[in-house]
Amino acid sequence: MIEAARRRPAGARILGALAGFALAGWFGTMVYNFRVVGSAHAIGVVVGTVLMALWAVICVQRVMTATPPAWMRRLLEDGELVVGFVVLNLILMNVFSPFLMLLSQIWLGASLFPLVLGMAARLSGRVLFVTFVVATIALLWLSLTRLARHVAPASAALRRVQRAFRVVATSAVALYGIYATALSFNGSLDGPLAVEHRRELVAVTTVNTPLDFPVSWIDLRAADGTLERITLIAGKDGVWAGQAVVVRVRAGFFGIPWIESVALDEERRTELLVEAAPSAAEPRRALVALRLRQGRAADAVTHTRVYLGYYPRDIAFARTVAETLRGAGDAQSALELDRLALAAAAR
Amino acid sequence: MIDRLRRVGLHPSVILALVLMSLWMVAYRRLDGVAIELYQPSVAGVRAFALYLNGRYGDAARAYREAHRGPVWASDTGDPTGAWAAAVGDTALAERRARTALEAFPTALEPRVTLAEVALDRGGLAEASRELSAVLASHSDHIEALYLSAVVHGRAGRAGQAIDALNRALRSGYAGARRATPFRLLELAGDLHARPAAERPLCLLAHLFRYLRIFDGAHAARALAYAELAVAANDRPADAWLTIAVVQDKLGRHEAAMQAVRHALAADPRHAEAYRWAAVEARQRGDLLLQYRMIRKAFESALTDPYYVEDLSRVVLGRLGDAHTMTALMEQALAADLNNAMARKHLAAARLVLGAPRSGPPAR
Repeated sequence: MIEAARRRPAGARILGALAGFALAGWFGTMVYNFRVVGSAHAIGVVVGTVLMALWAVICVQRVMTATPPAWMRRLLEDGELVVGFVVLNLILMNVFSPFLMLLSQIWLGASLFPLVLGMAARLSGRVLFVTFVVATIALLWLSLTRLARHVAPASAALRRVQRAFRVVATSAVALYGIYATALSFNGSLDGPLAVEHRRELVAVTTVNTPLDFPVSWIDLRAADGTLERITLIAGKDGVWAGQAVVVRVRAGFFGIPWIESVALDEERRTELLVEAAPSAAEPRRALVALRLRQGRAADAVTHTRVYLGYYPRDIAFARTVAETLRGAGDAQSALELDRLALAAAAR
Repeated sequence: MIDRLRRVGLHPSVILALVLMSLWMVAYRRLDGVAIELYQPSVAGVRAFALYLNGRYGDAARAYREAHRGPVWASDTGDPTGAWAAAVGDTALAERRARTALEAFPTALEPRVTLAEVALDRGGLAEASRELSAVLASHSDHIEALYLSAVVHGRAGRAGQAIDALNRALRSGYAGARRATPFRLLELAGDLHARPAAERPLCLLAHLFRYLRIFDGAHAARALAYAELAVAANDRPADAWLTIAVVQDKLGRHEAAMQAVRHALAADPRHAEAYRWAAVEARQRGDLLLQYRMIRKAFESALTDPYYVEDLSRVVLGRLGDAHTMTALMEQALAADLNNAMARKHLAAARLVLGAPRSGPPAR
């Protein structure tokens, strides 16, 4: 380590570790988003997370074992002597922050003092907590590193182990990068066609990770009864809930099938709403709009007729549907709706 | 020792910093979710807080009430119902003000609540119960009266009625405005919690800790634990499951909350509040169909309770645009209780939609 440090400046070592961390994160995102079919997705995401954690550790280790410039070294040496008192002061400042805030507000006369008081009063518990978490990790790390150096001084064998570890960590990121890039091209160069699979949602599981990033997966049942588990992509799969979902699977440029999205089966949901509340205007209108988009004119006319039965005064809706049908070249259906609208208006 | 540490490269100041930071972080994690009401800036308040942190809730609540004692700053006109005087422990002045107000306005509710508070402070459960019954007879959803009723019933050993009062108060989403209310419930919870395990009213304790969770997130675990014990002991299992559902919802675990609601409904298929929570969870998941079914069930399970009409209207009229169903449901509610003003209001709104020139509800 010392030998390597002599060869390369501390800044380059830290930047190298940061690059490793950033690359692991970037590749992890690619694997996460181009979700392959089967358990490979979950495994890929776990591997990415492990690599990110590994490079974060390497990064911290390099920062902690870096040789700082002379001016900073003096500062750190002095800081080490007073760090306990600084912490004590911060805690006291946090405890008395409401009084400091009050004092800064009632302080008469313009000077720097009330400004400083106000700033000190804004030291919230949350900020101090985060600061302390970072400082505790850093100090513990530093202490453990020093202890480790004391227990096991640098030797040729230790240097060989460290070098081997570096090679393994770098190779792992490189291999993961190749896999992620292949998945990325497989998905982005893919044709526009997607196959939609209708499934029944059996169970949803969400695990909240310590970093407030929820990891969710769902268990789906196909029409033939077979079960499959799919990990969800936060922010991509949209708001899904209920019983029926649509899984959009694409073939992939390299033939690796991947799941584009898992979404609520809007069509099924609207049909169920119409079934449950036949006189409800909103779901009926939504179903008519859906049938028009699907080119199922007969169904659209049927539902518009039912709608007019409940809401005979809303002939504007019937005319809008008729116009849409006319625009699509279905003059006969449009004419039928016009007649229905006229009959409803005459009622 | 210090020299040895220095030789290894560990300065005592670093060790001190690590210890201080760790202690502060532990304290912060414990105190982060504690509401401002539990911090009283006085020696008595510090004692109360220490008792509270020590888990002696009954003693802590009494110490808090002691810490609240002080001069009555508000004049007769500033505190006509005597609520402030009761809050600072001047029961004689509180009673005098409340009775004066009642002489002038015999139908006023707040002075009666003050009289109930005074009676409770003097240990007169029967008198407190009488005053609260009078309040609830004219306003069945009076939050303060419901919370105080829960205290009276809990003290009198009527756990079931205490749970009903708490559930009814908690559905409002308010913890009560009177200063002493949380501490009365804390005292009750502490006293019941201190009983031998076999004598504890498990389901009531679950509800009390569900209420106290509003002021301290740490009570969520206690509420869940007591609710699970209540389910195991078959002590009002539907209400216990409902408590689990609500606490899980507050903890952001919506799947677990939904599961608990299902259990509550399996235990009591006519539990209106459980249906309402099922609707809340359905809305959280964006499932309009389930939300509609559940809020309709809630309404149908408690036809004479106007509380569910507003939520029902929001779904049936607001989101589904179903003026026909809304009209039919409101007519059903009015058939059950002609004095249901809320049903009357929403029936008028639904009929207005049906009679409008452009009949269907406006497209969104």
